[in-house]
Amino acid sequence: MTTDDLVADLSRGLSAVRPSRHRLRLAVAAVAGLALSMILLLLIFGVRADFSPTSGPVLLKAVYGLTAAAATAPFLLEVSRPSTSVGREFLPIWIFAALNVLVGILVMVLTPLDLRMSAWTSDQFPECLYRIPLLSLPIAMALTLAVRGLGATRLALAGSAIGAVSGSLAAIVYAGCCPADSILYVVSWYLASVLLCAAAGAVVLSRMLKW
Amino acid sequence: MNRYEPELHALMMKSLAGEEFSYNALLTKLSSLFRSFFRHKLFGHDEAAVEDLVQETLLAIHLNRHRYDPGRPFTAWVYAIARYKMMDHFRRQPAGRVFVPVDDVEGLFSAETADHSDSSRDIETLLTQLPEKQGGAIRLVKLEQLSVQEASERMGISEADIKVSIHRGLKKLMSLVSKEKLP
Repeated sequence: MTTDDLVADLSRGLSAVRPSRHRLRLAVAAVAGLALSMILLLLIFGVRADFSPTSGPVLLKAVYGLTAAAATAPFLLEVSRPSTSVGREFLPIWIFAALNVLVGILVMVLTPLDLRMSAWTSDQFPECLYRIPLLSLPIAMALTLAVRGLGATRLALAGSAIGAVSGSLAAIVYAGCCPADSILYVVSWYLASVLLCAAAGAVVLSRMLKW
Repeated sequence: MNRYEPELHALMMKSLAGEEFSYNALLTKLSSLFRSFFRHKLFGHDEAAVEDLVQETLLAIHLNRHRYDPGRPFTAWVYAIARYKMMDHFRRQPAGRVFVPVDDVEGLFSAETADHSDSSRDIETLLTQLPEKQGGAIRLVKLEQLSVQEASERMGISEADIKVSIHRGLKKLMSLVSKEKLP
């Protein structure tokens, strides 16, 4: 078929289209994934013994995850569709990361030297390093299904954006069972977990986004 | 923002509203832009691949047109899709990895002028390979469109000399070009 024929074919009998609701689609996927992730938490880990949705530490960690999700959402909105230059979308992420590091240094300096190690690791292996990625799986799957077909053109970036957003949302869920309450723990290991999700997304999810 | 944006964006908006004629005009315009862009990026080696890419990109735009956000630049959206299709093409042939910048929106929308300047640069390099008299005569008469008389005054040689120089120079150019084409 010649290109002229194709053009004629495509334009013949053209009907009006309604612009798709890109944000809504991603938001619905995120909420659905979040719900599945909560079910997964209850099935595998359960909530912490003293769980109360209004307890300070749980709330604080949930706010941390929510802030991370808010910082990474513009990036996902941008790279989930045909996009070229990504620049401004990184700004909230940099601000979040910078604040995160700043708080970490500040708290470390204020913590007495002999308590630092236990505040940092909560005297155990940081379980969230694999638990947050695990809880992020249903969210990542839902978001990947939503992004497929949106015509993402930078697949590695799109994959890492899905990973980062789902890792951040999974941190909210994980706050329900995480026993470690020190700020130093959260700003180090939660951040590391989200970064891990983003890296895995860039490698794995990008393959699922081809079109 | 580039010079194509207002016109193409307006056509796209009418197309989204279902205007066949605008859509036809839009796709026709885009296909000629894509053709010179892909030809440029593929170094003109494979005309069939260029045409395939043009059609694939048009189809992708057609299938994704409802996903275009009217508030954002249309040319950037189109470039992202064209670039994706080309990267996909290169990915299928691993030997041909080529770097394609992610934000070279202008690259797509200035392909026509880029091609033009390239060919004139070629002529300049060919002319430098000729003897000065032949190259000068061809440049003045054939490229700058002077008359033989003006050229002879400018170069300070006779009109007959100009004519002979052009004749010999063109012959030599022809052999230079055919030699370059040989593998």
